[in-house]
Amino acid sequence: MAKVLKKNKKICFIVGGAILVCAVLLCFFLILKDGGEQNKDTHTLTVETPQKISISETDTFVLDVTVSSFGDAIYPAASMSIAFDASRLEFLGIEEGNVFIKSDNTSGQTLPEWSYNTAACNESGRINVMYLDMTGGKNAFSKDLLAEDNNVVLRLKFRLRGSVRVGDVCDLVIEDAVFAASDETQSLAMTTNTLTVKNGKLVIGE
Amino acid sequence: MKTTKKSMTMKIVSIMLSIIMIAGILPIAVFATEPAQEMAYISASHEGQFIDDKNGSPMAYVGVALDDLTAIDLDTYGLSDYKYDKDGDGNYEITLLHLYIYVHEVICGKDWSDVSISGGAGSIYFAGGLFGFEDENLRYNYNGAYPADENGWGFTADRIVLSDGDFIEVAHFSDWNFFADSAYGFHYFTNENDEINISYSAETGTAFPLKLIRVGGGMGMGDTTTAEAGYTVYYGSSIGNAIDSVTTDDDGVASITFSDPGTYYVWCNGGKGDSDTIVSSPASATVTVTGEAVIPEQPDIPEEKTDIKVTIDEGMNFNASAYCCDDCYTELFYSGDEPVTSVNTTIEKWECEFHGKNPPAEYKVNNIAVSAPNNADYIVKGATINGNYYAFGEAEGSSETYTVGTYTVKMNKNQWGAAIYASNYEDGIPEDITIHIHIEAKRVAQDVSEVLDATLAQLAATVTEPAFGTNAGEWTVLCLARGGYFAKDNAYFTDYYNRIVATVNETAASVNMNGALHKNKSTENSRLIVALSAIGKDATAVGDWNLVEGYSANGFTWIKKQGINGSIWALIALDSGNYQTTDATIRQQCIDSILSLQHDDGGWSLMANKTYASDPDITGMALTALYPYRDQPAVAEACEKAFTCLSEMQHENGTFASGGSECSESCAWVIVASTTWGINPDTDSRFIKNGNSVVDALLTHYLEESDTFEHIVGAGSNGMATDQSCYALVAYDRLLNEQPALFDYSDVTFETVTPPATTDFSATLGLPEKVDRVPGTTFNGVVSVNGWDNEAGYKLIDLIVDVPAGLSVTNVTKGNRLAGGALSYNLADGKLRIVYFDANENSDLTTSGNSFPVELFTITFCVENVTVGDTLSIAVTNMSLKNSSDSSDDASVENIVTDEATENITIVEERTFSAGVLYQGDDVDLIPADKKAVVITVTQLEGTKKLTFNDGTTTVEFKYNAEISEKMGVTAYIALVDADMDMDAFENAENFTIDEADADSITFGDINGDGVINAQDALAVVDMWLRRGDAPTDDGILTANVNGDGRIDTYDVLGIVEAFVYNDREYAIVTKATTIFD
Repeated sequence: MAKVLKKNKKICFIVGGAILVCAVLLCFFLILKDGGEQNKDTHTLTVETPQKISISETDTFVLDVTVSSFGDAIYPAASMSIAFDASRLEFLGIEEGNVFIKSDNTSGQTLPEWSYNTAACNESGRINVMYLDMTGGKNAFSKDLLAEDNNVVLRLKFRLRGSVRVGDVCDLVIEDAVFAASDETQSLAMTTNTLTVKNGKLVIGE
Repeated sequence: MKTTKKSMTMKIVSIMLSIIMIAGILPIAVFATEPAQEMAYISASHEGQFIDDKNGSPMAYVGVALDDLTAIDLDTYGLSDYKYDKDGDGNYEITLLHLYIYVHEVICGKDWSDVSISGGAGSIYFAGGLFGFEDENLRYNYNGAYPADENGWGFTADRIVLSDGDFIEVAHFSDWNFFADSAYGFHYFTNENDEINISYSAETGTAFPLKLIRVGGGMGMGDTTTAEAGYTVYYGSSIGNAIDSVTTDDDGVASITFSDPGTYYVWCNGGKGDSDTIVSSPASATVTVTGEAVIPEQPDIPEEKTDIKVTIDEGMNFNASAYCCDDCYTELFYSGDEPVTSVNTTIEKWECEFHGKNPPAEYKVNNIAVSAPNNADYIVKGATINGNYYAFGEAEGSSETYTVGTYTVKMNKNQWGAAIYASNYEDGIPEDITIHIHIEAKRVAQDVSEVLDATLAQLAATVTEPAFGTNAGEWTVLCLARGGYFAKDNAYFTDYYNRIVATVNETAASVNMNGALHKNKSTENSRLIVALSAIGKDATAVGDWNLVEGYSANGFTWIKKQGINGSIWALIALDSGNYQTTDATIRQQCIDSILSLQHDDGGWSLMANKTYASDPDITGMALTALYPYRDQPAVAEACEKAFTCLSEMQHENGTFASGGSECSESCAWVIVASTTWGINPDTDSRFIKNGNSVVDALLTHYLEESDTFEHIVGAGSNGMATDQSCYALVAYDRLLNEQPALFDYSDVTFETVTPPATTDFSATLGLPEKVDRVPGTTFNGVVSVNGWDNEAGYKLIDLIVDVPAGLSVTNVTKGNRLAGGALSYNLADGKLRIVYFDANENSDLTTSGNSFPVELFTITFCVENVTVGDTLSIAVTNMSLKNSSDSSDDASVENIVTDEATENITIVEERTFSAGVLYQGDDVDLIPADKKAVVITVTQLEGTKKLTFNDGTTTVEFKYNAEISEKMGVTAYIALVDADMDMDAFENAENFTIDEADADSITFGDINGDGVINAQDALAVVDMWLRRGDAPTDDGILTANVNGDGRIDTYDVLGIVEAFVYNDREYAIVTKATTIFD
């Protein structure tokens, strides 16, 4: 009788162990799956900066602001606020990126015109730039017009000020950004963690 | 034999089996009845008329097979988001959006890429281009009703699933306020059970009743149904090709008797509303008529087979003769027998009655050639006098004078000479003909002064405080001024003017388009200019604004937004005071535009499509506007054609019809036009039909019991009809009294306006109304100006602020829209001196943005030693803008008017509440007229405590607003309340409860309340203005209206964008809030 019990106990251990292993594997699988999906749904806005910029760079330079992906919605509006060190950098304006918006023209696409004010940006040390489609959707950003090699939303044009020194580090910090959809739940926004950002960092070298 | 019989049997069986087999392989469809196609029907109209499809056919319930819509793939149109699987079965439905695409491309022949679409699924929005409409000012009905959802708001096209027999009407209008008009709606025909159908059946020879209704309301308000009385309903073989028309009775029923079997169309045009613009859709239906053709009864042939009646004015010379011959259907009567008699006179006016063999009716002809109806035997055209043919009204002659009386001439066959001739006369002229010549008394112009005086008195008594607007506004002032009821300096007019100044200051600042009172409607300026000029006020200086400047500054583009109406009223307004325009071409652009829009028949209408029938109202207005330019040959020629057209439009009862309805306003504008041109509309034969003049016709609309006029006879008193009829009678009365015409203000003495001192700008000082007496208490004063010129090269601002004893100044900051200089200030001897300039680079001073007033400085005052109850006056003085250091040059300085920049504060001890109205809605853009935004400031209150108002009947929870609080230095709250709430109640401390809990707060521009103002908020206001989704909540209104006017519109969108890109620039509403406390 005791042998039988011992055998049953053994069987229980084996079965229990198998269930435990399956549960662990299942959890592992789910975590992996969630992580994959999370990764898949992450939309990132990045200020692309070179590793180093030479202090002898007396000419202007531009930094790309890229977006990794869009969701399924259309985005008739977008804005971003990027803080920079106005004592070391002079912001000169916005140059065209290569991410199109929809358009009525024959090609069906065009580049967005961003609103900003250079003087106000340099005065405040914050680049506030906004695109707004007053039709509410006819000239919107869309994933259909975004490609891996055409993902530059806009380009920030700068010049080093005379006050800059070798070894200085100039951060470009995205304080707020949004690609706005009419249905706000579809928007990509920092405030709702549906848009992640990667800030830029300029290191001044020789 | 047996074998043979069996073989035969086998054969028969084989044949039978073969037949069965062959029959079995026949397709079942051969025996089936072809199923009827499922259809949907759609109409499209603009300005009350059906638009044409690509083939020129009117789009009245065009049938489209639903099967044809299945081929439309929304994906290929970029409309994937609008696909709709209503029942969740995995298959997308065929919706009205599919039908729109089909109609637009296949029926209208247009490119779908021209259609501007926005909005999300379930709120698709056609911003322009659909069916060729130039903008989004349209509405649609579905199966005779507004397609309301459970909340009363409308399903959009992508959510309306089509079924067999559905019918849809899409109506587009020029008037952007069409939906607010009491006469707005969709017209339909119904049967005796009030059921709307688009096809009916009738029998020949039997009166068929069709009821005409108008379905209005909708858009969250529920549908309303109105029977249309006195409306003209046409019928014919196709729309636009009427056999005849009938008028609906008091119950809206049109009774039509069809003579022949066949398919007929019945229709009516859309009609005008209170604002004299088209606000309703046309109606149409088909009627299938069966039965035997009915031959109309022939009238009895009179014994005297020809009876010609000639009527001329008393005392006029007359030269006529009677003529008859076998061949009188030949072209002219140059030859013939001797006349049996002749009467010599100059003919000005003819009336002829011709009774011939088998005429279907009696024809009366007055001066002009007319054609008989298609089924008549006769065409009556003119007269032959002394052997020369004249069309009626052209004859001249002289010699004898005849008195009033009747003269009878017996004629025999082949005798001279008939006053008329006939064509298609099959049986020859009868042998015995009698011609009666009647000479009647000349019509004497009637006196309307009794009606006019009574109407003017009624207007003065009922419209006691006229204000800016079409009703009880400018038109009433025009009547009373040009009718001479009040003297120009009467308080009635001066009080009106004062109200207008306040309205203009607020409205023009809000619109911010160089004195324009509406961004799209130049007629708002024109109407006001016409009224102000009538009372001798200079429209170039009304309050702070020049109402004339907008025509040049905004250009003809602004004027033509209202089509021909804009051009007409711009001319009338500019000429009313002989106002000069900066752009000297504006008048000619208006003239050219009006001429280019003249229809082929010589008249005008609101429609740019010149093939449409002309409208007497617009034709009259155009003639009035063009009168000062009659020396231009093109104008003279156009106006001559227009008068002929007007005359031809006149009905036999003397009246005129617009949009199918005989109405007083149409008569009124014929009278105004004719009197403007010096033509007496009561005696000139062009405006008399069958003895009825247009003045007679107008007076049939007069209601003696109320001294008002009605729009159509029997419809009851109507404000717009009364105004227009009254000024038409004023115009007529002025003609009789040989006074200048209604809009010829050469008899008006204009007031001389003293120009502002040296600049167009004036300053304001915003202060809280009450300040706590506790020493150390601080509060802010905001110095603003109502304009700025960035091109003027200002280098320096200086000003002095009188600071009363007991107060000190702790800080002065510049407004964040002002740039270019550095700030210095000092307080000494009660004078705060402020100067702002760039001492290093001498830069120009500039302000950003376009909204005004713009804040220049904020002064922080500190309470030092004051007494409770003191009223302290703080004043801005000696404020100037300098652009050079050359003091000898007068042009180097511009002094800013500071008359309005003095304010008082009251020193209080206890907690006090001050209230001011920040804005009130005007029902135009999203803010209801019965709502106002109220700001409350509270002394002796720190932090953001919860503030609740309750006066026993109404409870309002106020929202804390940090921006106004910081700007004024006093804790401030805001709420949207009913417009009729007493403001005194908001200053009574007993009505407020303050809790320690934090109040909810409102941040201007933060529409979604996430604490960040960015593109999401700007887009939210765009969507609000485009009417996507629900109407905004109170909080939505408070956060979205960042410029502080009575509307949420694209100015607010731009305000949010500008504030963002200028890095937290202050909204105009915050600056405004500092100025609302008296």
